[in-house]
Amino acid sequence: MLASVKTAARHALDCRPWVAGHGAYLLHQVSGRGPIDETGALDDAAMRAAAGWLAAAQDSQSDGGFSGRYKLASGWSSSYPETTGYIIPTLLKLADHWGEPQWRDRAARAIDFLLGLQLADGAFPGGEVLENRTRPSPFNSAQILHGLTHWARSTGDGRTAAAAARCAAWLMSVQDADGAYRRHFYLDVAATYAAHLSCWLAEYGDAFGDSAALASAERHLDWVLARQDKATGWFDLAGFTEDQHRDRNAYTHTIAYTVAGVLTTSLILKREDGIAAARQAAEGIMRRLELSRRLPGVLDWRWREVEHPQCLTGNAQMALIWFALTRHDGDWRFANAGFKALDLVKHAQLRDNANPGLAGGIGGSDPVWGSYIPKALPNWAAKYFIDGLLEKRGLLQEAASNP
Amino acid sequence: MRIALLTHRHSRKGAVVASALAARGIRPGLIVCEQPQIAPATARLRALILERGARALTDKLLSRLGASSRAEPPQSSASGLMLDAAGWAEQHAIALLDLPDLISAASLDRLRSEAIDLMIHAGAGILRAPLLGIPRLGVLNAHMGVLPRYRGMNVAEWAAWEKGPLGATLHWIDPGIDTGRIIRIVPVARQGISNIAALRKAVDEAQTAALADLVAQMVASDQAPSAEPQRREDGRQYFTMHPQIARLLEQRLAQSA
Repeated sequence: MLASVKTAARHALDCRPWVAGHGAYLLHQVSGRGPIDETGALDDAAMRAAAGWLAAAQDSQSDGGFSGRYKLASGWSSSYPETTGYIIPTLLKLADHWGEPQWRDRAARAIDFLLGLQLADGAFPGGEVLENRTRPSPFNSAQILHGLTHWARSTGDGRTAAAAARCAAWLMSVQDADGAYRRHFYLDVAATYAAHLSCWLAEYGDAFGDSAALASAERHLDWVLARQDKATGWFDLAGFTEDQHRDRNAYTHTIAYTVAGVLTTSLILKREDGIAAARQAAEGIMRRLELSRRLPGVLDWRWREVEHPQCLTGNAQMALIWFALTRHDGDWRFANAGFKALDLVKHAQLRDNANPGLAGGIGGSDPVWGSYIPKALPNWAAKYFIDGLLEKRGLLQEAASNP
Repeated sequence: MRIALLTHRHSRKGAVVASALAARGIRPGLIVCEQPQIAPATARLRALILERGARALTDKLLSRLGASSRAEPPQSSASGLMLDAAGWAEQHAIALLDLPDLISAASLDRLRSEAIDLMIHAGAGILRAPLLGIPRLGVLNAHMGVLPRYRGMNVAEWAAWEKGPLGATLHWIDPGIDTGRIIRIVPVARQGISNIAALRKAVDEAQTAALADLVAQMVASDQAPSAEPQRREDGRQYFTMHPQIARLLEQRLAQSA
């Protein structure tokens, strides 16, 4: 009893409730959120607030990158190249959606930041800039490739296109013969969530007519598909750690990376077997959300709850997968689940707060002291939430105009 | 034929099915009322505070105190259709059996002792396998969608959304969700349906009438009707329709009527 009180007190002190806005944010974790908005009435305000939080994350840094996360214990962390890369397509969408060029300007600053970080061999460093600027990361490089591809396509910027080409070439150079990525991964262990690496190679290959990149992505797709449990749709090796691999569980964040990667590559390559594999997993996770009325943050191979707190970015990422399947299959059960998953993220968002590191941001977990990015708000949760809300809006508009 | 309805005390559906049977001269021998499953008090309290804050506690306490002094008996009506299952049983002097659940050994033993020929699902929760073998003929269900295509929740709405066939299905219950052998499909015409409430009413009326007709035939013949098995892969499971999709459906129905 005394030990648990001490633990709770330590956690509370870690979150520095005396800092501006922290107390209100912590209270919001347990109290007075109001009902879940199922009407969509708050969608625009939620998206505006999340975009405002992303802007604050960029403005907190002087290098043009986006702070990786706001930590309740220590404030903004340093710029995170990986997620700065994949925030770029989100910024471009916001600029178009709102007709506000400032979001494009932010994307331009992010591009300058990233191009300055590219290593001589074409790779990009893993982690945040304060901890690493030299060690390459295939996974992180691919997320940056995604951003470079979109910027180059959107602007025709040759400098970015060249950087993307060098990055893609490096990614292909570190792929093993069996299609897997092991080199420069943690403990050299391959993970199926690297499907979210190869899908950006496929996207790049498709955008720039690079058949080698497409072939490389397909080899990896085959490697991932061979690791699917055909009974449940689960992809083995979808977790972060050896323990998760052994126990066949993972955060919804990396599960969604895996499923999204398989789906994206399969859609580009028109691989029906890959689309079916992604659909099977997505349907299992949809069932979990619907039966539990929430999405537990860690799921096992039968899509059963392993950890109760939600992983909010996982919710938003899954919503995007479900929306993509709705578009492909015309099956609105998936959109239905996506709307509910986003409602849950919206419910966890605190839009009004004196602290720009908290206002509109999305916690790693709900409640924020869950095990995924504990006591912090990662920038990718806000990014995927915005992507999800934009996609939801598009689906609803299309459905309304095509009854 | 000894017939039992499986429902819960406050189920309108239980009363509606019982009334439809009575209109065909069939008197259920027993109305079995399962106690609704309610989340533990701590979980409900946590959810309340999460939504409304600590003030919700005092509001709840005050409302409890106020409610106890203003407590009124539940409304009854001369029309049996307005009653709930317990009210209908009382009004028609039908034996009512309250059970805490439909899964525990004690509940199952109690039901076995009743020598029931046919059970009808009429508002109870999900039924588990051990119960299904108790009645001599089986457990009947009327489902608000065309099986095997539309399994699960809000299937009338989902069928309308997908422009699929509207209707109800009479089937035997098996351990799956809406996967049991199909006895009869009852189509419902789309014409004139201008909103979700009308859609649900049309399908509900069709399923209740068809169910009562089927039971009347079974009573007359003392036989189970023929039924076709479903293949699991022939259907989809649907879940509660999100309000924003339901809103779009309302617009579509209004436009098409």
